[in-house]
Amino acid sequence: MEWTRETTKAALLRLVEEKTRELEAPFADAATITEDTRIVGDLGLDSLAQMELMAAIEDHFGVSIPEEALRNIDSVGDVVTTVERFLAESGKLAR
Amino acid sequence: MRTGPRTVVEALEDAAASTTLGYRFVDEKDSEPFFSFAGVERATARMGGALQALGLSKGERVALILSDNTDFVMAFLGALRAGIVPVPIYPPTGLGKLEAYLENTLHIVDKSGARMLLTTKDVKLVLGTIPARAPALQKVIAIEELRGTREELRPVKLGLDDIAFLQFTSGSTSRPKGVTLTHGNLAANVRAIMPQGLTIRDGVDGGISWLPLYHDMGLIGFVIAPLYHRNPITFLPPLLFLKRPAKWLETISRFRGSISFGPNFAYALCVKRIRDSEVAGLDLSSWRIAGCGAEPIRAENLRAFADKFAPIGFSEKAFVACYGMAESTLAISFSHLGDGVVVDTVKSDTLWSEGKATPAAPDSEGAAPVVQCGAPFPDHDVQVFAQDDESSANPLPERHVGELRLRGPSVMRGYWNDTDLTTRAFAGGWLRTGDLGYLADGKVHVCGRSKEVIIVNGRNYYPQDLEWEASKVEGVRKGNVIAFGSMRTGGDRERVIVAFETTMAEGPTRQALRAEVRRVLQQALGLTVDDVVPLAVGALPKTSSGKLQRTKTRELYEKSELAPRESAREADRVELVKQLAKSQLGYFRHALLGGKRED
Repeated sequence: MEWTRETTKAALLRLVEEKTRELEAPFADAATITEDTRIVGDLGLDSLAQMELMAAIEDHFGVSIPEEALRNIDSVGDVVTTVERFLAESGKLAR
Repeated sequence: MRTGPRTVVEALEDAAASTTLGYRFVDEKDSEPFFSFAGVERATARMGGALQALGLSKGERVALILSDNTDFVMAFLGALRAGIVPVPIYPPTGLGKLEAYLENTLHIVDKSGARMLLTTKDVKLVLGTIPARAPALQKVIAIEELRGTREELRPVKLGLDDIAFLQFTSGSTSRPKGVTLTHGNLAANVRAIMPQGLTIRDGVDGGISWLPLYHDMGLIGFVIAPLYHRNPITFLPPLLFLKRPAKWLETISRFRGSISFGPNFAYALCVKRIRDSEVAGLDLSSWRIAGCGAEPIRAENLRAFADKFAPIGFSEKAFVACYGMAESTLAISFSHLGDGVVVDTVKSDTLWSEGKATPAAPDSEGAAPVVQCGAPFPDHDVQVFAQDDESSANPLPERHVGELRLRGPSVMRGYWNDTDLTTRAFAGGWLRTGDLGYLADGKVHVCGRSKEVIIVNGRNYYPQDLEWEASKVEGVRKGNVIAFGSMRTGGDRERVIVAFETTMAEGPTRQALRAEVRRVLQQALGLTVDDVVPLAVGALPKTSSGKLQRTKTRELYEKSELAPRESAREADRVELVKQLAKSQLGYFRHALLGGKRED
């Protein structure tokens, strides 16, 4: 399927929220997840949980997020930017 | 082929006769370049030549921060061939925690006196002011610049007494220390591991490894040892395993691997994360050696793994319980091949009060299971001594608990550039492992780390046991519990503290959880815990290998940085976490721009 910036963002916010709840992240219930929410700082996902979240995101969008890209991810907004980049590279993002 | 002990370089040159066996590097994009040992010989000669051309010569150190397995293996072996001493450092992985990473990296670079640091373009950007803060470091090189290199290796004369590399350990009791390993150490330990411990068949047994290569189990076990015995190895990126644990088993099945190792947590992760549908159709019957080491072994975790994967051909008998440490190159002892996990059940009360491992019936009250790690290797000796036996004069009898000490050709020469720590690491010629254990039928049994034993009213308690019991309480995150004793926090006796991570919200539920942990420990061990500290997920410090660090937790606790942070959170936890994140960012910025830490 083809994604737009809006559907990508909405899907990611939902996915992060679902996954953090499922993984029992400590602050899953604390606040609404926005693009400013930090994956480690605000949600408290540990390294194993981070990788599980990444696997879920990859499966959902059918893209592969390489190891190097992870270093630049801090907030949910960074995840959105990263996924958009790989969707665009694989021609799945509508212009 | 040469006979007798060989240097790693000689082993590589001998293995290069093979154009069919070698290393395969699976990556995330499902490409999987294969290098025969002949190809590895050529690629590492060019890399060694490139390092020489940069001005490095025999004995000088080069720090390696390379997360790509192919890059790492070629650079590491290339340096070895030029007699240059590589210093592997773990790459920044995952999200966040960069400031702690940089601090640790600076410490290793500085301590090793590395003249050059070889990494990737993007990590080079992250390193910031590290080059400026490590006086000996002259240059940071991006591996991308060396990839097309055609430099010729100028041959270097190397012997068994020459230093091969420095293995910096994130030992759980102090800051990283540089274990100095010679080619002789490596040859001796590889001999102990491969033909003696595991009866490896040269050129036949194949290995699969996702283990990080900056860690001894991945580097020595799956890069160096296979060169000596021409074993084909398939490497997976560590993060790929963490992301998709099924990939590990899939790769073993696909390549008919017979050897693969993992820490206890890896087997537990497979049980938790892998869905039956992911492994349907796989065949693990080729897997005859499933090593488990690098952290305390829990027999029940391994049993659960065996139960889950028996339907696809995994045999419980394939488990090999491993005991080792970097100071002994890699391995100290392995349980007997083909026996699976063997547990010695002992009475926990005499273990603690008298330091004796008295056999008990498996289901009896107060019975404690201790995993047996086999007999010491030939030419090596393991004995148990009282901790205050400074000259190792009187080995304790069988089934008496004391400090495990080791001697033999696998034992390191010492810690790099640290005579004080080196002196303290030995007692009368024996390496002090710092681990508590006993011998039974000549076999090694490990019960804990000596420095971490908690003594209350003359009785010894092992933190692992408190942690294990506390882990059973619902609401406590399994494997994320730290127990320790503290002398500094008031009173004239050691206080017992149990800190753990929980997903439960603050308030009455956490209070009830604290009470329950206290109650369970009181009941199981007869021990009154002085303080129970529930923490948010991620609040406990971890080492690079993920092992929880008791010493650091104790330090934080004693500086009141563990508990108050928690109680403050009760007031406004989200706000506080944001503050913390900001202050960490502030520290990071500060570290990058230079100046001192302000803590």
